[in-house]
Amino acid sequence: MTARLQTTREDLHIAALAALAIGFHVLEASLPSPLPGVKPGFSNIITVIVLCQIGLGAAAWVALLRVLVGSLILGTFLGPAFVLSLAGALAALLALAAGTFLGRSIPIIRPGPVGLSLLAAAAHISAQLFTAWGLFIPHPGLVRLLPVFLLVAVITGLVNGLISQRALEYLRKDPL
Amino acid sequence: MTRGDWLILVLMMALVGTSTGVLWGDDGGAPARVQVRVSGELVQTLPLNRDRRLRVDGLLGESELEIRDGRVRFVDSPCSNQQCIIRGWVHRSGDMVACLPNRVSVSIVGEQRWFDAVNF
Repeated sequence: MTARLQTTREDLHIAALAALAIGFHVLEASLPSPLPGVKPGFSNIITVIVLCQIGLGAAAWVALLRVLVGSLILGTFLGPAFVLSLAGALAALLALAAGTFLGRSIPIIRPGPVGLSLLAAAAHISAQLFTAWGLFIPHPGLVRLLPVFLLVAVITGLVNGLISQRALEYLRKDPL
Repeated sequence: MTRGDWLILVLMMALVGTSTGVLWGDDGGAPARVQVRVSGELVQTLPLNRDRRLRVDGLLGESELEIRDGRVRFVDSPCSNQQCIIRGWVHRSGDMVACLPNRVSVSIVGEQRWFDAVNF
């Protein structure tokens, strides 16, 4: 007897976007980095696009699938890199949820893709830093790197946010 | 970019600034102390973070020192050239002021050393 999985259009949409995010995730892992943990974070572009197009639930699916499958491909599943990646993704999702909620309650300062991307980048990188500090490298000097990482988050968050914004404009004209 | 985007960007830049100030500021480490020497011999060690004035007996007479706001200076000294007073406030560990004619010197010691040596 074979079980058949009912897939909706949205499931396929999420799977396609998650595959794209996984692609970025794996591609980025091969890039050299000046400082461990500093990455362009291109897969966050996909998360932000999904959040703006579909919603928070779909964004969470894409982000978590990306972390899981990305780690399986790279062979880091359940290792330190996976823990850091998961912590970053969860924090970024929380930040995105907070940003969305903020936009709903105070519409004047409703963040667009750029603001959301900035929030996610800052949450992602700080959560990774504090997880690394708490679990792997409990050295007091590590926290002093926070400003450096936050500056990186401002830059990557801004760039990725602007890319998301452009991509969303294209998608509005020519939807998937 | 929306108004919210700009707001978030500005707040994050501010956070980078403040966290740099807090985590990389001058006052990291243990509180610094002030060592007072007369003719090279240590006569007093005082915390730099407690304001006070004190008089120290030197070769020529009394020198007056003031510790305030984490800094120290010579207020008065019986020397002829008054170089010690002209030097003004010092606050970094490793910093030093001396009144050579009166043989009184003041140096700041702390966990962080900003200078290996100071020379004039």
